[in-house]
Order: sequence, then C-alpha cells, then structure tokens
Amino acid sequence: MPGYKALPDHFSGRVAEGVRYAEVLQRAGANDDAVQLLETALEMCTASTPEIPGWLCGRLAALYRTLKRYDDEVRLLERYRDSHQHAGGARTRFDARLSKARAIADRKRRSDTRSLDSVRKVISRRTTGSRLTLALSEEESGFSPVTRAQLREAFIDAAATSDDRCLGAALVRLRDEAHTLKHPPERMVAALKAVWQRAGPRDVERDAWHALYRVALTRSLALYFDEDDE
Amino acid sequence: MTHLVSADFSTIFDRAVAACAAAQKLSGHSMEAVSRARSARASARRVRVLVAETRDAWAIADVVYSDMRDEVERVARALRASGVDNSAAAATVRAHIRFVLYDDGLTERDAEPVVARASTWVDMIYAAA
Repeated sequence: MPGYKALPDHFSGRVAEGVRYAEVLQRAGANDDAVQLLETALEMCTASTPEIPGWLCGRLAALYRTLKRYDDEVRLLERYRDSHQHAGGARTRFDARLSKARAIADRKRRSDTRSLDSVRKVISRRTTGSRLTLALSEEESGFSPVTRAQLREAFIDAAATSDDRCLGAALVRLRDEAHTLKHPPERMVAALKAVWQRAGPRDVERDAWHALYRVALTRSLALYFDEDDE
Repeated sequence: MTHLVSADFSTIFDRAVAACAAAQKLSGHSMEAVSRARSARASARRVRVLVAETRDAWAIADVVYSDMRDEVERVARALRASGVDNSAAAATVRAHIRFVLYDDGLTERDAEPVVARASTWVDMIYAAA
C-alpha cells in the first residue's frame, strides 16, 4: 500500500490474511481487486466487532484515494470515526485524515460534471431499499374518487384476508381508467402509491404491507401493458 | 403470467437496471443540450464541454448496459433451466424491470427502452439454446 509497510506478523486471523493478500494484489497492480478484498475483510471484521481496526481502515482509505474514489474514502473514514467513540492518538490522526479527504472530495465534486454525479447517485440509491417518494397526491393523480376508494378498500381487504381478488378487480378498474383518460403508466403508479401510502392500516406488519404494494404495482403494470391474463 | 417466484432477481440486477435507465436518460439530455447549444450558437468552448459530457454519458451507458445484459442473461438462463418458456421468461423480466423503474419514479419514455432491450436479450438467450 502506498505509504504503508507490510502488516506486522503479530496480526493474525482471516482479516489480517485478507489485508496481506490485498498488499500482494496491490503490488501486482490489481488495485480494484485489492479494494474488493479489503472491503470483504472490513465486513468480516465489523460482523464480529463494532470497532474498525485502524490498520485495515487506513489501507483501504489509501487505496480509495489512489483510485480517486474520494467519496468512498470519506464514508469509510466517517465510519471509522463513528466506530471509535473515545478520542485518542489514532482517532485524532484519522480525524485529520478525514478533514483532508473531505476537502479533496469537495474539490473533486465541484469539478465533476453534473451528469456523471447523477448516475452515481442512481447506482448507489437502490442499496438503501425501496424509496417511495410521491410526485402526486391522491387527489392530484387524475383518477376518480370512486376508483381510488375501491383501490384503498381492496388494499385493506387484501391485507386483512390474504385474498387479493378485490385488489385484482380494483387494479383492472385503475388500468381501464388510465387507458380511457390516456394517462401514462407513471401517473397510474403515482396514484397507486398515493392510495397505498394513505391506506396503511396500523395492525398490519410493515413487511406484509410492502409486499402487497409490490404485488399490486407489478400487477398493475402488467395490466397496463396487456401482459396479465387477468 | 410471470414467474416472479422462480426468477433470481438480485439487488445487483435492480441496481444495474436503475443505472441503465439513468444513463439512458442522461445520454438523451446531453445530446439535447449539445443540439440546443449549437442551434443557439453558443461559444465553441461551451459546445466542447457539452460534447465531452455527452461522450462521458455514452461511456457510462456502455458500461452499465453491459452489466445489465450480464444480469438479464443470468436470469434468463435460470428461467430456461427451470423450464419456463421464452415468452413467459421475457414477460417475467419485463415485469420485474418495470417494477424497479416505475417504483423509482421513471417515466414511460425513459423506462420502456430499457424494458425493450432486456426483452430482446432474453429472446436471444432462448434463440441461442
């Protein structure tokens, strides 16, 4: 690693072995593989102990900098800081490193094109689970109150009884109205999301309620594009 | 009918699909920006910057589409191996991709080209069998 001596022999175990192998890869010029290995070692390490060891964090951060992955470097150093609650020599050194990494990342970000940045955001976004931001409220969605009410009742009924026949019928009606009013599919999806979010009953488990949304959205799109046998 | 249960859609698959849609959208925007700048007789420097951005966007699109193709082909092979026929497999892949993209707030204009491309890749896997 740049600026790093070989990991001393007294460090042992799978994580240390991973770091040593990453050093070999890095010397061979396979920086991407070395990073992947260190990231795996990091996950392995944090699965057993909350504190990230400095000898692992420092090497991975240095490689991120070499690969110009400045934001990843900042995130890693922040993670290190969060995992070490007590201030000390190492923590102070890493704090200084974090300040410098932030400055570099900020400078780089300013010179980056907006388009590249937004692709990166999309790529990383889906790791955080389903986002359900709404572009439209239920009333603004352009669907009739009767259709929305039927859909809401069908969601609640399906959650209570595990029988999705009413939901199927409500989705067919939603699709028919979308076609009649020449609404694009994204408008139908926004309406469905709005109804689903407002209908959320308190006594239904969150996962089950989300699963129902997933089924309804998939089915409504299949109906919209005539890919469902109804 | 789709075979959502049997299909092996991973987080990587979803990320690849979302990245493709974003890259496709950006390529379109970049090209529009270049043609707008040219028709408005913007400075040569400005046009050069926009052309460079378009080239970057295309390069990204190439990479992410290649990742997505790998993922779609992996799922298509798994569906074929489990006895699902071509049209059902393509419908399954389309259904999943639509879910990912429309849930993410994309419009038909940006989502459907990605759906169509994935559908073609599934057909190619079945045709090659």
